[in-house]
Order: sequence, then C-alpha cells, then structure tokens
Amino acid sequence: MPIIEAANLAKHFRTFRRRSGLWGSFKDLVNRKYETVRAVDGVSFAIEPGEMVGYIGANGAGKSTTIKMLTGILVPTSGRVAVRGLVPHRQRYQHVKQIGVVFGQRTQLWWDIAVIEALRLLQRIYEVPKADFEARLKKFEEVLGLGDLLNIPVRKLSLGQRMRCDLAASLLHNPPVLFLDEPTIGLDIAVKASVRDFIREINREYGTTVILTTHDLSDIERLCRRVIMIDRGRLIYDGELKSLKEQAVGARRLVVDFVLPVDRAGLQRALEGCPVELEGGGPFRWEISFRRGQANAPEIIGLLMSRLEVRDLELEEPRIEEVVREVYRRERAG
Amino acid sequence: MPSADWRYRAGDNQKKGHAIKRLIFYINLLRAYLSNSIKSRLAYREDFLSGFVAGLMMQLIGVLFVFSLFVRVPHLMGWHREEIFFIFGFSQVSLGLFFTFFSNLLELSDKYIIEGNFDRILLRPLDSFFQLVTERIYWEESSTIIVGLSMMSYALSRLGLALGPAEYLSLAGLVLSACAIYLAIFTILVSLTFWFNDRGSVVSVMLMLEGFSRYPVTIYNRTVRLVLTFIIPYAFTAFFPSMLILGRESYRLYVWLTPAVAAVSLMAALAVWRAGTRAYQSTGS
Repeated sequence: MPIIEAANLAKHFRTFRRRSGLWGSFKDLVNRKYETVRAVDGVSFAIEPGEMVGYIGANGAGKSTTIKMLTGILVPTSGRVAVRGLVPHRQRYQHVKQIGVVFGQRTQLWWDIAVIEALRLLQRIYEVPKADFEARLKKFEEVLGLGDLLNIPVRKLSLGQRMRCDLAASLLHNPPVLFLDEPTIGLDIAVKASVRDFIREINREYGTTVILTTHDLSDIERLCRRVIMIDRGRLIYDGELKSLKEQAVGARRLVVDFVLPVDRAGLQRALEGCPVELEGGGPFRWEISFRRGQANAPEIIGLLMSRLEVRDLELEEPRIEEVVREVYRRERAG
Repeated sequence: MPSADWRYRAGDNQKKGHAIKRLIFYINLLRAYLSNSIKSRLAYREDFLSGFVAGLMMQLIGVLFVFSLFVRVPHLMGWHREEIFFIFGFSQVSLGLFFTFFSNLLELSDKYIIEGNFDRILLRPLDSFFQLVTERIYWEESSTIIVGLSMMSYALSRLGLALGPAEYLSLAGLVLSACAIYLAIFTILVSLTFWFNDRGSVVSVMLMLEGFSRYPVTIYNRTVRLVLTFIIPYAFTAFFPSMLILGRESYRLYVWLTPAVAAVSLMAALAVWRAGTRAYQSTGS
C-alpha cells in the first residue's frame, strides 16, 4: 500500500495583476483584475514505503507548492492528498509527527541557542524517549560528524554545518517519511557527498521514504531510482530514472585522443557508414556524438581502433540535465 | 484512499480527552523555552543591556514630560495629578508585560509571512500561536514595566494609600487582564496579515492610539470614550482597572468587567488567529 498518495491534487492561487504607474495603482484600488495561477494543476502519484523519489522541475513548475501540500503547510484547492492515511492539512499535529522536513535555504532550528539545546527542545516537542534520543544522537554524531558542532549556537554555523544539524534535527523522531527540499544547495562537494551518504544510510537502515527536490540533478542520480517530473503544474514524467535516460534520445558522446593528428575528413572516412556528429577542433582530440539506436559505442570504437591509432577514449553518458531539458522540450512542443 | 479523510477522526477526539496532559506538556515546554531564552540573552549581555538602558531612557523621558506637564496642574478635570500618574503607571506595566512577552507577535508580517518562517512553525506538532509568541522574548522591554511600577508606587505613596495583600493580589490580576487585552487587540490586528499583505501599518496606528489609555477616559469627548470602552477596549487596559485603588464608586462595575473583557476579547482573537492560519498562503520558493 502506498505511503504517500496524491490524486488530482491542485493548488490555484488568486493573484491580481498590478497595473503600472500611479494611475494604475488607483485603478487597482477600485477594480482589481484577478487571475488564477495554477501552481499545481491536477497531479497524481503514489509512492511506496522505502522509496527514494526525486521530484524535479524548473523554477515555478510547482515543486515547492506540491511539497507544501504534502507537508500540510498549504491547503489544496482540490484533489486529495494522504500521507500514511493522514490528510496533512486537516490532521496537522499527527501528520507533522510522522514526517521530517529539511529546507535547504532555511534552518528549522532556533537561531540563538546551541545545537544541542535545539535538539533537546525537539526531543521534548516530539516526545522522543530519552534512550532513543541518546542512541540517535550518537549515531548522527558519528555519521554526520556533529561532535564539535553541538555546543555552537546555530547562527554561528556555516551552511554545511547547519545543513548537517538540520538533517539530524529532522530525523530525531525517526519519521517514516522525509521531505528534502534542496538539501545540498550551496554545499561544497565533500559535504554534499556526506549528506548523500547519510540520506542513503537512513533509507537503508530505517526504510525511510524520501522525497527529494533539487536543482542539482547529481543528487537525484546518486540517490533516486525513480523521478517524478513536473512542469507548469502538471506531471510530465513518473518512472525510473534509467528508463527516462534511455527514452530520451539525448546524445551520448565519445571523447577520443589520437596519437597522430587526424583531420575531420580523415575521421569521417574512418567512420564511414556510422551516423555520428563530430565536435571539437582536433587534431589530437575529437568528440564524437551519436544517438542511441542510430549507432552504438562498440561499433564506433571498433572502427576507430582498427583504422587509427587511439591513445585514450572516454564514453560520456547523456547528462541528466540534457535529458531533463529534452523531456521539457518535447513536452512543450507537443 | 477514499477512507483517508475520516478514518483518523477518532484520533482527533482522543486528543481532546488528554487536554490536561497536553496543558502540562505545554507548561513544561514553556519552562524549557524560557530557560533557553534567558541563556541566549545572557550570551548577548551587551545587547540586552544596551536595549534595556535605551528603553529605560525613552521611558524616563516620557515620564519626565508628563511630570513637567503637571507641575503647574495639580488637578485635571476632577483628577488628582497623582491619580493620573497611577493610571499612567498602570498602563505602562501592562503594556510592558505585553511588549516583553508578546512582541514577537508584531513580527508576523515581515519575519514570518514574507520571509516564509511561518512554514517552519506549521511543520512542528505545536500550537502555532504558542510557537510564534515563545520564539523570542524581549527581556529588554522590561524597562517599561519597571518604570510603570515605580510610577504606581510613587503615586500610591503621594496619595497616602496603603494596600493590603488582597488589594495587591487583585491589582496583579487586573494588570494581567489588561495585558491580555493588549494581546487580544494586537493578535487580531496582526492576524489580518494572513489575508492582506499589510506590512504593519494598522499595527503602528494602534500603537500610537495606545497613548489614549494612559489618561482618564473622562477627559475625552463622548465619542472617543465610547470607542475606547466598547470598540477598542483600551479603557480597560489602565483606567477602569485603576479604579480598584482610586476608588470611584461609579466605576466599581467596570473594574471587574476588566477580566471578562480580557477573556472575551482573547477568545475572539484566538478565533481570528485560527481562521487566519487556515487562510495562510505560503510564499513562493
């Protein structure tokens, strides 16, 4: 049975268009032209316990609005939403006890008090038994390296330190569902990696269901098998990340270094019959891009090795950014 | 899925049965919040001290102004100078209590709704009003309480009134009621920001109007008097409750109406707050 269900979920905001100029402001006072923004417009999906799902979309696509409905911050205009059978905005107290939420841009902790004090307050708020609290704290100290941070006031933490503390805070009550909104924004590579490892470990050990929104698609590649993609309030893809990549006709790229200089014509001759595109100026390094289905890597590599002297080669998979861009483009065109 | 909407209603009712347990939970939490607040204030002693001293100076200037005003005016429309000082002091104590413990309420528009911090409040399994109020306590505002208390005791000694324990206790109850009335008025006003993108203009007008509460309402004309009694009950934040001590028989009823007005307006305020949180539209990402 799914742990999170959304059925025809919609959120419409009514805003009014401000007219420009002084006279426009006067007109706004008397007669406002309202328009409805369909931030989320009939989205349905179901997520099973223990899944890690990447929820992606451009700015303004409706990601945050969806997350806010799933967490109970916003009341949907229409449609249904349920997390473990609870309706988030109606059963707010019970619902927020079963979820953990991390917003990358904002801390959930109290600004002025030390991290450990904040965690103790959360322990009281979520009524976490003392033994559980100590055990989890110890684990977080180990995995997230919180040891030295515990006695520092939150406002003095760096972004990376704060994010690690926020993650610990969101998981103190061991929630079955974890929402992460841009958890790696602004973090350096080492911290990013440790945050990802931690999320993966939590998922494996506790079976925590994770919903992740991010701009950094490498987060999704490292963590999620499944992605849900949204554009202009509507669902445009829901399925395996792998099949999304295969489905997309995004170009794969072979980067080849040659021992001797090769010109474009020479390379074209060597690859006679293979529909490829040549990029990069040579003469020692060429980028050969080709589309799945039209040509395949072993064939191209075979031809190159037999006809030219190759020093090194590297096969690049389509980058997820390109895949996503392509899905968007197709969606908007169709 | 279809059953999800009502399946857990039983759980909601169960919660009501545990009202007392919940109350104890909140009181314990409040103690933890207060101790953290004091700790963090101690960490910024200099901030606290400068805020406190600045507040004290402001208050003293205000008091000095009133004193100098009344140097040549021993009576004002039937009121003794010292009686007016008492009312003034009373209003400062109740207002000071409000500012010390509930100032964070006034941050709702900017810090919580526009900056989006209200999202975080809704993500905790706690009452939203409780969270907003306790998130920051403005200890430095206690200067207003101290100045008010000094004015009251100065007035009492000049008037030659000695109070018994029962009167002190009643006075304390009335001060708390008056503070609750301020709380109710400002809760209703800040709740409006859930619906309108007002950036506190109504609140600042109301803060200025508060000046009316420092003097006997009888010095104002009939319309102002009616407004201060029945519409914006500022008359109950100092003048009417002060009558307990200043003992004008005709106001006996109003003295004891003060807690009732406080209770009713506070309940109304919390209802407006609840409606406001339901109408809350979080800011964009």
